[in-house]
Amino acid sequence: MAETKPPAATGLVNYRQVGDDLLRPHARTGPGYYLLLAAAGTLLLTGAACWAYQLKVGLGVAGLNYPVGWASYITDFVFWVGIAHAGTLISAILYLFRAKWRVAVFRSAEAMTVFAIMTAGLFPLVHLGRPWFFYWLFPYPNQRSLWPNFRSPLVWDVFAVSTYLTVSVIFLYVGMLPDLATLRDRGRKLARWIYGALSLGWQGTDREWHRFGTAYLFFAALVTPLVISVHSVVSWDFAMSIVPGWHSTIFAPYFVAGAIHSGLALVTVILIPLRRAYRLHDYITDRDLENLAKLIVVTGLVMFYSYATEAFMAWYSHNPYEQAIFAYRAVGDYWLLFWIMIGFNSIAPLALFWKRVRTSLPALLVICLMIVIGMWIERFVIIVTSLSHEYDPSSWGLYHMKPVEFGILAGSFGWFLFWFLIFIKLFPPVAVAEVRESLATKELG
Amino acid sequence: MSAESGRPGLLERILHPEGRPRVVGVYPSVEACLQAIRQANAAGFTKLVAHSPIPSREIEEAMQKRPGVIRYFTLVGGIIGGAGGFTLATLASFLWNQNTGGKPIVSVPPFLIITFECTILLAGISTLLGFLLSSRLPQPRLSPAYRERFGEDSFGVGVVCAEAEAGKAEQALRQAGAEEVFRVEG
Repeated sequence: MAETKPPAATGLVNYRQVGDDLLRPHARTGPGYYLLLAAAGTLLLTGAACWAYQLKVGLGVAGLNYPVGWASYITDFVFWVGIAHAGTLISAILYLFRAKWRVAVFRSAEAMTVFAIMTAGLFPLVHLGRPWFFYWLFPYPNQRSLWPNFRSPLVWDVFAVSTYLTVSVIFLYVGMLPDLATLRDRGRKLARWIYGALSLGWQGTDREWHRFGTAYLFFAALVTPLVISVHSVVSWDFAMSIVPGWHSTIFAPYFVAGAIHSGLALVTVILIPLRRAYRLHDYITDRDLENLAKLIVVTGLVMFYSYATEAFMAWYSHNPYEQAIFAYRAVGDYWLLFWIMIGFNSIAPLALFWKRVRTSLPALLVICLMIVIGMWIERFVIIVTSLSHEYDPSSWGLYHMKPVEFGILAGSFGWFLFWFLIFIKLFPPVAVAEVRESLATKELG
Repeated sequence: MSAESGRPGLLERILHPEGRPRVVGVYPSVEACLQAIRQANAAGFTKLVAHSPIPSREIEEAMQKRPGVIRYFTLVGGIIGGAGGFTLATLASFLWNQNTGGKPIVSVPPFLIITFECTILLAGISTLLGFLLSSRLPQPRLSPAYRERFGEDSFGVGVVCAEAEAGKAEQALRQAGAEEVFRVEG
């Protein structure tokens, strides 16, 4: 383990040491980093090759067919939008609640948000039969006077996801300005010039810090309702239809809770190896990871409650189609996925109630990986089972994922990881100025 | 600085309307920095610039920072975004006048979603604009009063004063326990 000494252990704040420690990924990267980058690149190329093949041959190479026209690509879209939500929860919502432990983890979570939205944004394109016409979803003056249907949840999606990406990028970038200035001051030649341009001439004056604090607060206040709206809108892609299993008023909170659940799990999965690789134990502490685990317990309980409510509403409604779809999910063709979903998302996190489990990093890592897998499966179960078993038995049919879809799913993980690895090489994965601030606060008592 | 007149150039006057610090003291901690601000104020200097590697509420209070204009940018941006979003959906629906599921052409509940997203989008962008303008960023070049250590482990307090008062300012900064005091040329 690390030779790094806790910066505040001696009672004296050593800001420079904090910078040295937190900028270590920027300064030094071992062969493990490049191996991981190569692996991410390989996955990314695999996904790109699969998509190229699909573009050449047509959507028929995917398992999409009547009656299941929305399947793995839409699952991937919903999954990745959900992953993005934890970043906002940690960076914005916990900021508004003044949860100080977020300092160590929010930068990575914010970056994860941006890359997860970028990944999610690919899937509507992959899902389109003619992706080169994607811009038809945007409202722009055109000679045919053809405008998108603003009553359609798909158009709401375009607005919600584009806004979320834009505001998240601004939030991440503005938050990084002080650290970019530190990188500028430490850099030489080209790096100094590039970070100098990116830091916009930040000099840490009282005026800059004052405005920075105000702007950051406003960004946090803006992005908090935004994040809730985004996954609500995504859920309405389904809930606005009259498909059994989709047409439900709890879909918005249910999706938002699931999104945060999966996002927190992926943040934890990323932070555990990151802090080990770059010896950041003094900054991303065991206590921080335990706090994340506690949040996961809360979101896991919300998921449990949501699953129970869905089933209860199906039973209580006396609607035979609603009841049939829930019975089908539990004992039909996709029963195994349904029970994995229940087990991974709502039963497994209960183990984190025990301090021994949530403070054991291998156990926490395994449970978080289970949640990530479980949440992808949840989206799959919601989307595919409802379409494959709608009202009329003559329109029932099964869907199976094809190799191209597996390739594109793997490619999406490669794409996400690739960007994240580039990010931690070029920018500090832990916010240097905020960590220094938290030490100064301790110093001032 | 304009060479002929000795007056600051237009860009300089926009970016630094109160002038640049002439004397700067370097301090190792927040407390020392606060002490320097108090000392400079007591000596009669009110135009100060503090440099800090961290956000510090104490320094902001000592510098008597007032709420800036960012909130107005956020508010106006949000109003323009919301009105623009609703107008866009409404006008586009009139232009492509299609009955969808028996809903009115101007369907208020679904249009409110577009309105909300556009409100946040424009409020966010205008907040960024307000932040950049009010904090006078981007700065084309770093101030001669800036030292790289201000971004690492030191705090700076600069005094904006006339050349004749530089000695007095230097004395005040030294009395506050400065590690180093330097004068800024130009």
